[in-house]
Order: sequence, then structure tokens, then C-alpha cells
Amino acid sequence: MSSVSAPNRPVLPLEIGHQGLIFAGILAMLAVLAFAALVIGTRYVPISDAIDAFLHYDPDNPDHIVIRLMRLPRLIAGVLVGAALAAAGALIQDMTRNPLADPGLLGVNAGASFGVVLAIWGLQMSDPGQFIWPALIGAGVAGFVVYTIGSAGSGSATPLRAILAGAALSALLFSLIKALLLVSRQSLDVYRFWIVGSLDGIGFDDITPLLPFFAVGFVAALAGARALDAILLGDDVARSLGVNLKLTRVWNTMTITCLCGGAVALAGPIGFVGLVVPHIARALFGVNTVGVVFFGALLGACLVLASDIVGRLVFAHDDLQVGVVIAFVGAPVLIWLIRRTRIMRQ
Amino acid sequence: MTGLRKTMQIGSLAIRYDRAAAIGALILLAATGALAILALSIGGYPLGFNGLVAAVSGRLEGMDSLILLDVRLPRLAAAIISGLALGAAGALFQALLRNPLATPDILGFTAGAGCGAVAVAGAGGASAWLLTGALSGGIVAAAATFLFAYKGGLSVYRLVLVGVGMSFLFSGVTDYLLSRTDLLTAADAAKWLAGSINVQGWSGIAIPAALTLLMLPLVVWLQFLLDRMRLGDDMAVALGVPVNAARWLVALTGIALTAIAVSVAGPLPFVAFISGPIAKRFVGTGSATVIPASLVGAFVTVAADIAARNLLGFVQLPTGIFTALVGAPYFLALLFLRSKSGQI
Repeated sequence: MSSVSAPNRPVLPLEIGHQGLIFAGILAMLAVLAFAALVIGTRYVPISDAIDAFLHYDPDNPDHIVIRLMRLPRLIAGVLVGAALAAAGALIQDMTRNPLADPGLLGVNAGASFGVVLAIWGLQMSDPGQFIWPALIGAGVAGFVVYTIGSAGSGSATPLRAILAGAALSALLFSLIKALLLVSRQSLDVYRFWIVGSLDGIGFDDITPLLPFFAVGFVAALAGARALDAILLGDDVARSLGVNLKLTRVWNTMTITCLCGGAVALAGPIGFVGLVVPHIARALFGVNTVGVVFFGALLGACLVLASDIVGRLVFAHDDLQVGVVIAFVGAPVLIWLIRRTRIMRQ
Repeated sequence: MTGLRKTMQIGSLAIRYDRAAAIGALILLAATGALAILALSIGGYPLGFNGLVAAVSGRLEGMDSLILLDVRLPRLAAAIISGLALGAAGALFQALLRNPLATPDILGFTAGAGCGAVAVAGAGGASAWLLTGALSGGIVAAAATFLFAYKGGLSVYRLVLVGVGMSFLFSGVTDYLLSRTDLLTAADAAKWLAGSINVQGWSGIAIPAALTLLMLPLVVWLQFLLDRMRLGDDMAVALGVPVNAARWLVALTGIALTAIAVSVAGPLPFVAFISGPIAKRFVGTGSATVIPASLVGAFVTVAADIAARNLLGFVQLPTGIFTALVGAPYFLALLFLRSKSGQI
């Protein structure tokens, strides 16, 4: 094992005091990004008006409406999606001992998206609040298929098999999505409000029904993370430490499905957050799944907010931004990780 | 190796050929021909077999003639050309890297070629320049993939994974370029990127067709070099093959064929990947498979195009959807079997 798993590094790279400082730094960064996400956009809103929108909300002031009804829900959605994908990525990486795991790379997001599009097409679903159920089923099925193919034969799943299976399954599902959308104009119209990998046009109506799923997902992630530390040491060691392997796997799989399903139902498939962020969190806070999930969630929120802001500044009129901007960060990180990881059993 | 090499004597010219491959190629050629007749006769405006007979005897007029000569035939030619080129490119890389997963679509070269073509289209370049853009993009993608996968040696599997990463990167660049062009160009390009064989008359495919046909003899020659290289580098050198030069030539030819196909039909997914293994099943392993593979590529692409045009009557789907529907499950099955037997 071991060189496949990320944590063959010094356990605590930083002193506890430094970690506190970094934690404070991340919170400050999140606050700054959140403020920037409210102020920056196509429509110029002076900072004083942005603050006023919260202190003295005036429903007749267009600036206040933009801040409260458009940019605020978009900000909250970005935080939720980034945190959920990062936490899910940390869980997948530690559970499969695969440092290259990511809900996007492993086809889980594609499965959730296919579930949603299928429901829009077949069940005439049009309320984004209902998207969560097909998203959960799709994410679960896709994860199961990739895991089955990845772990066929002897030995555990290797990063190579898992990523290739995820890439092929994603290609298949996105082709089917394209076909369904072209077949049915009605689906296309609903789908347009749920653009692939974008935070554009999200309102509070879309967020509220999903909040329970995010809440359950985050609590379950933190609760189940401790057992994963033992699994990182190998199945045998974990068993001798009294960890119930089956229960841990089932628990974390359901948590991952819940977090990814919620993120996709809200913003469509966004890749690479779950790949990149856990590595940053591990480098800053050491290998400790609870810590990686918690700090990773904060860092994931920062990454998605920052990417959304960059997208708004750089991209002219297309609304695919967040996913695309993150791909520019994520793809090079993926290649770098491939270079330093043993990708298959020797 | 099979002992089925035969020599054909035509005057003073002696041609050595592989019997299994030759028979397989003839059968594939016949199958593709039959499929081509089907492709020409059915569609939103059915001509029927009688229409084709009439066309051959020069009795076709008016609308029928227009549909056949200016719509169906160019489209069929485009499907055949892109399929031939992708099939040959895939088999070349599979033989070069000795791995069925190592094809231009998996290694990210088609994504690079698509990105290059979109860059040219976005800059307002004429369609003649699309090929140049696709070629540049393909070469950049290939060079980057090999460069970043190189780590004291070249592991095919690392190459494949880096290729997956490169595909993401180039798709990102493509998305960025699309967001910078006007909406009409962007919509066109998006359709083309899904793998659409949608040619307007003959003008767009004359050059790619000529280039592909010119390259086929080169591909046959490279097949002979690759057969010798399969015996190991030392043996190949002893047989007089300049191994390093041959590798470069095979790689460049494969990239050029990929770029030609992409410039005609967009980055059709999985055609390059499935053609080689299917051809191998067909003619037996150990035979020369590049030419049979290119015919399989043509067959698959024409079949996918027939499905894309006719399956849903009222709406035309991108051809690439159907090649992905066939290719992705095949890829997953191959991965499953290889995992099961412990090869990966």
C-alpha cells in the first residue's frame, strides 16, 4: 500500500499555534471572498449600497434587489457547493486510498446530472427542488459502477482503473444527456435554468429544499471521518483497531452520495474541487480525516467563490464559468498528482 | 507472428501482404460499401435503392440529383474519410505504444485538435485553415502529454492518465474560447465539438480527403515497420529499421490523421479507440491491423452517422453521440476484463 495513499508525509507539518493562525486566515479569506462576491458583477453596486442592502433593505432599490435576491443566493450556493464537493472528495480519497479521487473524475457528478436530465425528460420534472432525488440515485448508481469496475479482480481499486472507468462513464452519460436534450426541446428549456456547472440564476427557492441534505451530509461526513483514519493504515490494521469496515464504507458512501447529489442538484456537475482541496488541506493541517473534511469544506467554499468571481470578471457572456475556471486549476493539479503517485500496483 | 505472409508478383513489382489482413480488409470493404449504399438511399428525403440505380445510369434529375450529389455523397465521403483517418491513427498509436488504451481520443490529442480548430474558427479563420489549427492543437497536446508523462521513462498508463488531464485542460481552453466568440459561431462550434458530420457540399472535404488517401500508402509502410518493431528494439534494428525515426514518423502520422478527421467531423469520441481491437478480432492477432482498423473506423462512423440522421426522424443528433454510445461501454468492458485478469 502506502505510496498510493497520500498520507505518507510528516503527520503534522505545522505546530498547533500555526494551525490556529491558518484557520483564522482561511476564515478571513472566506469573508473577503464573500464580500467580493456580493460587490463584483456586471452591474456596478457601490460598497455602501451593498452594506445598506443588509442594514436597511429597500425592496424598491434595484441595487438592493440585485444584492439580496441575486448575488446573496449565488454566494450561499457557491459556499454550499464548494464545501460539499471538497468534503466528498476528502472522504472518497481516504476511503479508497486513492489520492486522485474526485466526484467529477470518478463519474459521480455525471451520474447525478444524468439522473436529473432523465427526470426532467421522463417525469416532466421542472422544479429544481425535486432534482435532488434523481441526483442522489444517479450519483449512487454511477459510483457503484465505477467502484465495481475499479475493484474487479484481485486487490483494491487502483487510481488508474478508477479514473479511466470514471472518464468513460462520464463520456457515456454526457453523450446521453446531449442526446436527451436535443430530442426534447422542453427538457432543454428546463435544463437551461440548471446550466451545467454554473451558479448563475440560482435563487433562494432552489437552495432551501436542499439545505437538509447539505446539513445531514456535513454532519455525517464529520461523524464518519474518524474511522477513515484507521482505514488509511490498511484494512487489517483498521480491523484490529476495532473499526467495522463494512459499516464505515456504507456510511461514507451514503454521505458522499448525499453531498454530491446536493451539489449537482444545485449547480450541475463541477469537477476538481474534490480533487484539489483535500490535498491543500492535508498540506496545511496534516493527515487527519476529520480535519481535512472540516478545513477542506472551508477551503472548497473559498475555491468555488474565487472561481465564480474570476469567471464573472473574465468570461464575457457564456455562463459555464465556475466549472471551467476550476478546470484551469484542477487539470494541472491532476497532472502533477499523476506524476508523483504510483498509479497502479506493480 | 502468423506465417501467412504471401507475396504477390505484378510484373517486376513484388508486394508482400498478410493474407488474413487482406481477406479481412476485403470483407470490411464490402460491408462498408453496403452500409454506404444504405446511407445514400435512406434519410429525411428517401431516394431508395431505385434512386441510386437511376443515378448510376444517369437518369436522376432535379431534387433527387441535388440531394444525392450535393448532400448525401459529400456527407458520406466525410464520414468515410474521418472514420478511415481515426481508425488508422488509433491502430498506429496502439501498435506504437503496445496498449489498446493508447489512442488519440484517450490521450487527449483529439481534444487538443478540437481546441486548435476552435481557436482558428473563433479568430474568424476560413474553413481551409481549420485543418492547420487542428494539426497545431493536436501536436501541442501530444507534445505536452508526452512531456508531462515522462518521468525517467515512459509508462503507457501514466501517459493515458496525463492524457485524461490534458483533455480537461483543452476542453477548458475551448470553453473559454467559445465564450469569447459571438453566439452564432459558438453554437456552431458546440455542435461540431459533439462530433457532427455536417459538411456543406464538397468544398470542405476535398483537401482532407486527398490528404487521407495520400497518407494510406505511408500507413501501410509504417505497418511493416511496426511489425518488425514488435519483435523488440534490438531485433528491429538488426532487421534494418531505424527505430527512433520510425517512432517519430508513426506518432506524427497518427497525429496528422487525427487532425484531418477532427477538422472534418469534430472530435468523434472512441472511434480511434474501438477500431483497432475490433479489427484484431476480425483478422486475428498478429496480423497487420492498421488498414483493417481504418476500414472498421469508416464502417463505425458511417453506421453512427446513419443512426444520427435517421433514428429520430425529426431531429438530427451529432454523430459523436452514437460513437460514444458504442465506444464507452466497450471501453468499460475492456477495463473490467483487464482489471479482472490483473493486467492493470
